[in-house]
Amino acid sequence: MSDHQSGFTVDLEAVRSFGAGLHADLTAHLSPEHDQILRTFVDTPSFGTRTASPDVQAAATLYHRKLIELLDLMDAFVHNGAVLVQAAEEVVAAYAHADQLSGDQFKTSLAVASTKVDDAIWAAQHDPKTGRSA
Amino acid sequence: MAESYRRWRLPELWEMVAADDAVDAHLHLATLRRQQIALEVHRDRLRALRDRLAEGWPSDRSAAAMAFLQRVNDMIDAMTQTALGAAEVRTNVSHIVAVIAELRADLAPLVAKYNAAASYPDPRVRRQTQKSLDELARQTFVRSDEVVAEATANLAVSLPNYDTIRDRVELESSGPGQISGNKPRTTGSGRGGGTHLTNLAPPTFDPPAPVDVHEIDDDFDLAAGRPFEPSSIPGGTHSDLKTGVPGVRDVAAISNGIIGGPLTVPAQSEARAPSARGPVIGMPPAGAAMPRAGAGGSQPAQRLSGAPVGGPMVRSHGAAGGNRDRSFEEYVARSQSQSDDESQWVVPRGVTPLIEATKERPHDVGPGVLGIDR
Repeated sequence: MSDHQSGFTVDLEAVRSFGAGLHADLTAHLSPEHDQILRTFVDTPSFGTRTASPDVQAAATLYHRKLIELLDLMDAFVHNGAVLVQAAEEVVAAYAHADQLSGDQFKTSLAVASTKVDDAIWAAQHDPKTGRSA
Repeated sequence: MAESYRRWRLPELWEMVAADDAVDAHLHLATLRRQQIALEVHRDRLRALRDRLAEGWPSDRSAAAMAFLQRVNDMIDAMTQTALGAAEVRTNVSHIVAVIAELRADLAPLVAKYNAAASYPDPRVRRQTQKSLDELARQTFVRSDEVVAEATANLAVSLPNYDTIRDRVELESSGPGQISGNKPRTTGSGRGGGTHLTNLAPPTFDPPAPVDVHEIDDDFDLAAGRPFEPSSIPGGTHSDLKTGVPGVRDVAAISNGIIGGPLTVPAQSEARAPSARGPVIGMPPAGAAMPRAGAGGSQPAQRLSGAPVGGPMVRSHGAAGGNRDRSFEEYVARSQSQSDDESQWVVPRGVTPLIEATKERPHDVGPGVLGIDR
């Protein structure tokens, strides 16, 4: 069981606001920056393209590897940011759905109970063998 | 393994560094800085969003809130480390770029001297000068490599192990916002999810082809690391008896096939040496005060024929004491001083003349002259 206090407290507007704010930052800032940065690195040659120096070649190779790591991380931030935006929307939808489910479940329970009561009353008023009224 | 660069000469070594564009290098550095700033700005905004979210959806009331906020915190931490990593990579790459730029700056004057030496009339002087410059360039490259190796070791920056979220669930056709209870499964391998990153091709290197070894290891010994001195040429300043090639000093003593004969500088247009810059033996550039480096030991009155120093001159001919014409050495010194005023070539002086003028004998009219014995 969870150690959390019973019942949940959630301001759905806060969750919705988080998702909207993060989405705006991603689309207006981080994602286009990532695209521009990637394009610059792709279009701009690095150092040592004509060198015969093994040291400069090793430096250029390691630099390329670090660039890939940095760009992968940027890509992960953009991707995971989008996942968090989607998750925030799912959370809002799930909480709303959960609240809706509670009402439905109550109706179902009420219907089940009503059915059981009706069945009991009918059984008391009729002969269980012949089904005729007592 | 360290490279000695013995297989390349200065022109090829220059090609290696001349291809690196300083503008491109600075664009890389600026983009790394841009990446760092973008990450820091986005992280700060994410922090503010996280704080507001934690107020409306407290993590101590919900396991889902705790898991969600943990994801956000992980991203904030990874962004901080990545921004620091980008800054560190930038710092070390800037060191490497600076070393390459410094190497290019060091080689540029050597290339100028190398090209100037191509106009030297004596092929041996030309080749020896260029070989000396080749060696200087190689030593500069080796020193540069040592600094690059140090910077490369620091370039191995540790970046955060932050993966792309690849969790997937089998979605059922349920109502909106309803996630099926199937157990999430992970696909993919985390980092490296950006398929477009394959555009960033790994570096390829296209160094200039090495020079023919026989061209480098020719028959001249190299005065490694020292400025060229004519006396370092095999055979000294005199003729090489084996090859028959006249020595440096001999060249000045031979003119028009007449050893020790009168040397009269021809008309100015004819006196131009092959040098592209125009200095000629005994003919200073127009309007220039010609330095007389290495001309010590001579008697100006004997060398010059009424012309002021620096003006057209008529060389002294075979006076007693031999021909002391040092015009070639002066020419070499002038050529060198024009390309680099700070380094004067050392020119030997006061060398014993090769050809002694014949002593005057008493006039003898010979036999059979009437009345001579009276």
